[in-house]
Amino acid sequence: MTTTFRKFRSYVALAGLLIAGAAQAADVELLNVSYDPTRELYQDFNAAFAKYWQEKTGDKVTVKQSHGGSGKQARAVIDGLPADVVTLALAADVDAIADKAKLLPENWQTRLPHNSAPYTSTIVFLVRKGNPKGIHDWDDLVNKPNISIITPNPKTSGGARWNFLAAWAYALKKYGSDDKAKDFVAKVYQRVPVLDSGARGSTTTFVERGIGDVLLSWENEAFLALKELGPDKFEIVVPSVSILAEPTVAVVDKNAGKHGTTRVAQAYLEYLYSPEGQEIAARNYYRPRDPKIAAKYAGQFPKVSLITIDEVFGGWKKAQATYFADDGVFDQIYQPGK
Amino acid sequence: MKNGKKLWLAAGVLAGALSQPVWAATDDEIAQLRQQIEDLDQKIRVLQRQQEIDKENAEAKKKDTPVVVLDKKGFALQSGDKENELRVNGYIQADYRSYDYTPNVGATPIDNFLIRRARLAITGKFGKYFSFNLTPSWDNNAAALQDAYIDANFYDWFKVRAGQFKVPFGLERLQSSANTSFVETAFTTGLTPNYEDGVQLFGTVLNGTTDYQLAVVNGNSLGGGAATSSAGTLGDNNSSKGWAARVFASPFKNGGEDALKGLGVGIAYEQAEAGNITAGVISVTPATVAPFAYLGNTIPGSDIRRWSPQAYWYYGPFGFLGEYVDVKQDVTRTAGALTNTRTLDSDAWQTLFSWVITGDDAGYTGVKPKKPFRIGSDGFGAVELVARYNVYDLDDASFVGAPGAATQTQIFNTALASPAAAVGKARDLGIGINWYLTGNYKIQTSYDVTTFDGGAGVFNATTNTITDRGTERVLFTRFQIGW
Repeated sequence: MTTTFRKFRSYVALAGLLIAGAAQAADVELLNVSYDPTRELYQDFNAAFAKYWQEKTGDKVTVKQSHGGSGKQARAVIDGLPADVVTLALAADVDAIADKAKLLPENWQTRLPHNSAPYTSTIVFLVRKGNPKGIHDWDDLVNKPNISIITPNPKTSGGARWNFLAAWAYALKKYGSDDKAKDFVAKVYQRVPVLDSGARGSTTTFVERGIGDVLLSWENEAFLALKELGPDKFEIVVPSVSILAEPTVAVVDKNAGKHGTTRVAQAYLEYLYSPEGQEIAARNYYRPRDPKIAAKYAGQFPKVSLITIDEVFGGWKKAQATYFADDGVFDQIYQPGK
Repeated sequence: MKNGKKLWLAAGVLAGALSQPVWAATDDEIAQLRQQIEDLDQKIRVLQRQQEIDKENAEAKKKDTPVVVLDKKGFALQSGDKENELRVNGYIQADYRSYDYTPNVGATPIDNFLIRRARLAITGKFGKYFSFNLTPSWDNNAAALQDAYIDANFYDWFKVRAGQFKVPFGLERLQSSANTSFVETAFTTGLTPNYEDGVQLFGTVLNGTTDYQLAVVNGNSLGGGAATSSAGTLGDNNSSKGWAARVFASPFKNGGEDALKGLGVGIAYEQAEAGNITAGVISVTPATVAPFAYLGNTIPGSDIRRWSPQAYWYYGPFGFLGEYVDVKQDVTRTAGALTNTRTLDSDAWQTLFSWVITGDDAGYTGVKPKKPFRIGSDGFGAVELVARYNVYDLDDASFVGAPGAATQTQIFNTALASPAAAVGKARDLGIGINWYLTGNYKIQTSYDVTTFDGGAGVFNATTNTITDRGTERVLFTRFQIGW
């Protein structure tokens, strides 16, 4: 037996060990880091996408979900949570990931239609059945006696930030100045007994723990509460003015690249814009972008006068810095115990 | 008329009572009370909810907060989610060696204290799959590296190890040095490979009952060699590699008779090419004297092959460990025009019995006393009696000269080993007592009597004979702490 053959035999043995290890990577797994109330949406959507992807490519894709307050989730991704995609409550949280962790490019929002917001929502009031406290608009929250308001913490929750801005926009329009809007919003938060970290937590506080008279809620979350707990317990009150909430989605390029999931991740988000994706969004009470699907579900959504973050607040970057950064307006007006 | 008076008296009292005004709540008061109750109810709910949120936040924070652990298992630093961990373990063995014999050849060994082993094991894991072990040592006051490997633990049945590790072969060799029943190991362990550099595939299959290992290593010659360097100098100076395979099963581990749950059986095989190196010590006695040596310019040839059936059995306080090791090696020695090439087939076997007389459980990984020693309590620790018998047999062909060697001188010059320096056979009978004061601290004492057949004793030039090496009697005591 020659030395060369002996060497070859050894190399083959060594290669066999390593190849056996590599042979296991077949199925694809994605991690979707999302905001708090989207559990039901992505449960339905993931099943549909997996079926679509298998039929299209033959590959099996499993999507794992992580849910929590949008800001908290963004921080988790910045700190290393290996998200392949993020589907968060607002663009500022995705901007933070791009800016602080450089996990995706700064122009991420231009990569998908409608500024990477495949569906929209708004903010409404969820009250107890019969509306015993007579809450009809934003003024009632601060002017009527003994009103307890449930809303999450804007430092961690995306929905909470939309709530805050919707209240501010109303007050700005009605009372005409930022100072008066600040007073108004401060009064709102003086009536908040519990600050949950995310929108789902606030829903739990209001619906299951029976705390508070009104929940400032994502529209889809309010509809879900009615559907799951029955329209005989709660009702939705649509305020005179609300805000167009645009939850945004993005591929986290560096993570997806590392995991080899870029193609699937891109297809996953694109599927949110497909007819089936839009149907699933609408069935889960998110306002679809597709005009045909929107028309089909028009009767489901109340008519609301909506302001946008761009027209009133100059966009998310400015709003985040002004109201929700450390020592921003929220920190000035919310001082627990005082 | 007594009853009549009583009746009039009762009527009078009743009339008096009925004449007092009765307090009545108004609607406003009721509404206020109701509101107060609702407010109180809300406050209680808010407090309860706040407690829930605080608890959730504390749980979430725990995942990010590193945890420092210092207990009898050593020191560990863990991430909050326990996905990452750094652990420091180790042990120190302080021995006293007493030699109860005067050898008939060679220097008289000196009774002495020594630090037999001092090792620090730094182990850790990063994430779900990857772990490592780095163990420097200062055994016998000399610095060295023992384990230095990285594991990728993909599945229970499929793991990959790369670096320096014990070759998966000998049963007693694979036992941690901190857990052996005797102060020094048996002849069988001297024939098994020790640490090597290489890569190993391993795992546990068949519902956790069976371990397998398959390793490709640099390859080493006979005897437990020290670590090989990256240049592969010691024990290996060629590019060909060795491999080892081992399977060890505990078939009744998950069910069946209680008495059989502690039964383990296995088999190991190793094949390596030693290359052109001078053979080292084949094996050592419990006295760590090496009366087994090839003669100078004896060259181990290709294909060292060794195999070992092995087993242990532990049931309650009783234990048994047995193994047989067979080694075949091609060896050559040349003197002048004569060349002696032989395939030598040497072997060793051991049987070891243990009994924990305090009733604690015996085990391959040592004894953990149920009642650790504590002054003032009835805790005494665990006491174990051990006994073993082990035999080493060097192939008689080692002493045969080259074909064509006619004179005694030619035989001596071409034989692979000399009866003046190497015995053909050795037998060791040992007894011992181990006191495990706690799970961390033990005191061991063992007494071994080793007898020799076939040489390595005194050479009588007149009769041209060599007497057998004299019997060795050694009493070793060890103080060990491990964590």
